[in-house]
Amino acid sequence: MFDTIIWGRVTLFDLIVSMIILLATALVAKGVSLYLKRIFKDKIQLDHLSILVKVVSYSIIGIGLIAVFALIGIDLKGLLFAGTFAGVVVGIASQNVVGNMMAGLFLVVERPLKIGDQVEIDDVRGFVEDIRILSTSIRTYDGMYVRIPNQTVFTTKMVNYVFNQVRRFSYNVGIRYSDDADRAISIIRSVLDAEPFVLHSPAAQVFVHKLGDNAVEIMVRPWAPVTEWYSLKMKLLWEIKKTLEENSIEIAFPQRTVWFGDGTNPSPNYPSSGKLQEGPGEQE
Amino acid sequence: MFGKHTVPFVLEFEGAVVSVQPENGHLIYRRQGESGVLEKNLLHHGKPIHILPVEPVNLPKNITPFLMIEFDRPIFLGSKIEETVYVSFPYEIGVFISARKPYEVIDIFSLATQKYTLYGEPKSGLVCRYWKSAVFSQEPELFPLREGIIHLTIKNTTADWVEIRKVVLNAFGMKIYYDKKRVVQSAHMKIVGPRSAETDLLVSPFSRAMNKSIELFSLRKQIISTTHVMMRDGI
Repeated sequence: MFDTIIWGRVTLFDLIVSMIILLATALVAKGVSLYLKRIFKDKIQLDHLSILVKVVSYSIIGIGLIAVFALIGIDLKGLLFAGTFAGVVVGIASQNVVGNMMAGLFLVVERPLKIGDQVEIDDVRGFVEDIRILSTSIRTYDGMYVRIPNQTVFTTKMVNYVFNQVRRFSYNVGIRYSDDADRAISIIRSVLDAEPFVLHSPAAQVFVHKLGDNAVEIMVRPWAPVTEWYSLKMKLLWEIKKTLEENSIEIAFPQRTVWFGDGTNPSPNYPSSGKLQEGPGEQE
Repeated sequence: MFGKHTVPFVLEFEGAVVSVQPENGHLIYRRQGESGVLEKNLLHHGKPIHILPVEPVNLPKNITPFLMIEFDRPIFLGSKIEETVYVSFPYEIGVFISARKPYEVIDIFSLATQKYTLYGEPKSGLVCRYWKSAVFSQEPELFPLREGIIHLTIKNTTADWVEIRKVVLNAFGMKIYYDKKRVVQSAHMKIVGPRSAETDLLVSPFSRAMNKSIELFSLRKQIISTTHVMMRDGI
């Protein structure tokens, strides 16, 4: 029964053996993938592990397929010619797919991003969920899944917010002209010094950067670990504002003194110098 | 202060009160300090509580295993010379319960100031816990609940004098020892170039009477590939 010819010189036995080889190959590939994941889980980065597992798994399946082709009499030389022709046709028809695949390979080699990074690609911001052969998937900050073709990832401007170990962020704190800017700078520095994740080095910059229309503007530029910068940014500004106010330094706001043609000021509470000292005044 | 405590107890640290006391049939772990009150229910009645010094890289949260100690005055060391100095280091205080598993962390707090820094370049550098220390030729007397003492051996293997301003250590390799008066550990720094050095931590108590603390990284079953640090961005 096993000698029954199915086609050409391929017997039923060959066919069964081929199916067993294919099944065994798939099982071995799966087993090796699981083994690699278990062994290297804590030792190499997740994206590298993912690539390693895929390469090893596809290689095993490829070897199994070649063995099966030989067994069932498929001439690989013939396949090569046919494959070349088919490749040209398919290649022309699927330029984008090939482009995305090549871009995917370049992404793996160049490694501008990895799984878990926070990135902005083509106006999409979020966490890199997966980097596949054809596309990269992003989980946006509001929890949506976005699939971006690798060609787009590779050719458009990409910002990786966590590529470096540390990053800087900045605030512009406007105080009144009547307040002591040196003292305000000293107070802001004390707030930054008390915060563990504002880095000692690179040191934070705190300086008067502009004498504005309504305020003396103090630039605050602390550095923080990339994992902590955003929570720090959300926390620090209010901390600075509260500490300044506890020390009688007020945050300035837009204001304008209105003078009438006869030289009088409409409000008796305002100083005759025309310079607002305190109070809300007339807001723009 | 450090060691095993049988419940109930109340301990006063500088600026913090730690207690385990029965309340309404439960044991309540409570820590009161400047940052407020932390309370936890302990359901393992009668189990002892261990309070021990631990690696200084857990607060406010663990983001790095590295500790950088900057010296208040640089050290100049001649060629092929090995010298020993003492520097201070911050440590954190771990509160553990021992149940079926050997130890479980209940709380970690610190009386030392917390600050982090970058060693090296933004792209390839190391984020480190930062500490500034004086350099002592003899074992100093420090604030025992805030800072410990590192017995630091520095060996200059280069052919020139070197100026050393800092040392970076891998806190995951720390072997911390304690007794009633002090918390200590030993480290080695091998200068291999004018701007580079290799550091490692040593298993070496100052005396045999000292007790070894718990290593948090081994308790968490973290895989540690190395306890060395190669300082390539300046010393």
